[in-house]
Amino acid sequence: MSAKVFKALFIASLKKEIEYRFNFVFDTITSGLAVFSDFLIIAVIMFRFKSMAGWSLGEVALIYSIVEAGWGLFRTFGEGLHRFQEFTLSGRFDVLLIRPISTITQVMLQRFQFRRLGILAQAIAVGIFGAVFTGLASPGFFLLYTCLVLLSALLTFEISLILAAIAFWTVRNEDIVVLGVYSTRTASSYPLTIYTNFVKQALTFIIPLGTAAFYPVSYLTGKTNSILALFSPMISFILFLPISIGLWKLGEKHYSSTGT
Amino acid sequence: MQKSTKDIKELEVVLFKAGLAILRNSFLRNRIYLLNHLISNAGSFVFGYIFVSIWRAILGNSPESSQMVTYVMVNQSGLWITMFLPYGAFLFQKVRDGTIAFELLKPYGLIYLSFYEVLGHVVYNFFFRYLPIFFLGFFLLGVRLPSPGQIVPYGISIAMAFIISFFLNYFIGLWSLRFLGISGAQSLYYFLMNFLSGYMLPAKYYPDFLKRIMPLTPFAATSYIPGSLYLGKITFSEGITLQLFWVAVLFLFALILTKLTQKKLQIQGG
Repeated sequence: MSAKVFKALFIASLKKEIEYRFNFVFDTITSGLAVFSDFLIIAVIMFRFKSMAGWSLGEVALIYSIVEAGWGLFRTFGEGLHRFQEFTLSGRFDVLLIRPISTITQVMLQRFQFRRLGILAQAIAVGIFGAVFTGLASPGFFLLYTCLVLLSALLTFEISLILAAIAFWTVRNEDIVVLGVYSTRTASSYPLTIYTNFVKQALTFIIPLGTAAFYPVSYLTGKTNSILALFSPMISFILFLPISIGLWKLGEKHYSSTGT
Repeated sequence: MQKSTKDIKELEVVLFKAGLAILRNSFLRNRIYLLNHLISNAGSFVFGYIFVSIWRAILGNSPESSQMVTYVMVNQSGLWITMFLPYGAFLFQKVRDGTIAFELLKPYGLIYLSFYEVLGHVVYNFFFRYLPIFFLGFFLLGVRLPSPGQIVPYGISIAMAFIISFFLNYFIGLWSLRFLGISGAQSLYYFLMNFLSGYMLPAKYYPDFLKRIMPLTPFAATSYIPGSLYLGKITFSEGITLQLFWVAVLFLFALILTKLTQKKLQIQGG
């Protein structure tokens, strides 16, 4: 049943987006470009200075790529969650509560944004560049890379779920999303060693987006021998899952409609 | 003859007052969300901190590094005046809800109205975003205060930067009037500003070819020029000439494009 709903909404979203075909193509390309400019700046700097706290451009590219590709995937499928305050502000969340499907699934199914695939595409391109540049490129590596990107998307999902849950109390959460997702995501796109210890710990244990790429790439490039580093995204995903769903459920209980 | 010039004078005064009223309303509308803005200031500060960390990792403990910290944080606070302006200078929102139809009936032009609306927003941003982020940088990251001689040149330059950025955002607004979508144009703007405004990367670190092109772009006029004036890296006349040039050119473009767009405008329901 859920699969059928999913398919119907998926097709509806796609149709809605390609209705204005010019805008769709233009938006897809430019939204990829916009995110790519962050890497472009770093590439320009590192082209000149070669090393960032012992990390080469190719290695930084891999970290950046895994975090940003996860972000692109999340933005494609999780737009409803990303803009969750639209539900609480308008009171539309009430409708979701009376349906026999879990609210998280419903929020996720509200809107797909295919134009965000541009973000995914540029991130993968940067990833391929990084893999070739560091000499890691191989079929096995790309398989692992795919798993890491998926985990990165799932971690982004968990963090977004918690931030969305805040809107059950505050109604508005846009600015907390900017603080909690955008800045941590950007911070996690670079080697965590460049930050003070406090920030590094926070990105590892409190908002664990830092585990998505920095630790596994550290292992893959031989900067650490601990196999724990390779599995850190998996570990933080599993540990974080009950916390994020629990907070969502707690918020849902607290939710009282704004009513219209 | 004399009378008509007097009438024009009076009309100008009325228009200016209307502009101030628009500015004031736009400022007050923002005040409601003060708490939200304080949270997003923290986010903006974190962005600045990330770039500061990158430069510190790359340049180590050198005088050049501490100069870059100041450059990055001054520009980061400035972004709320020179880059993050209301989407499409509020025009897209008005296309969506149809109020653009009424705006066009008003006795002053679209550019005039948008300018004062955005200015009100930016005056607010100066007090509640620019200054807090700047002082966070001063207390936590060791941003240096400007030497007294640089304050006025920097102030003038940041005002010019705002006007240039206003026009760029106004063009995005016109684009949305024409194509009924904004995110593509907004992303393109973000790309160009990110890569060419030099807010975290001054011209001297760009590769050869870009090093010469970048400072001449209108994008660099929004961050690179005020940031460099703050540090005293370029002369006032050098910076301000470029900025004035772009203000004039963009204003001309704005006049022409507004005319062209109004002819083709499609009004959506309200």
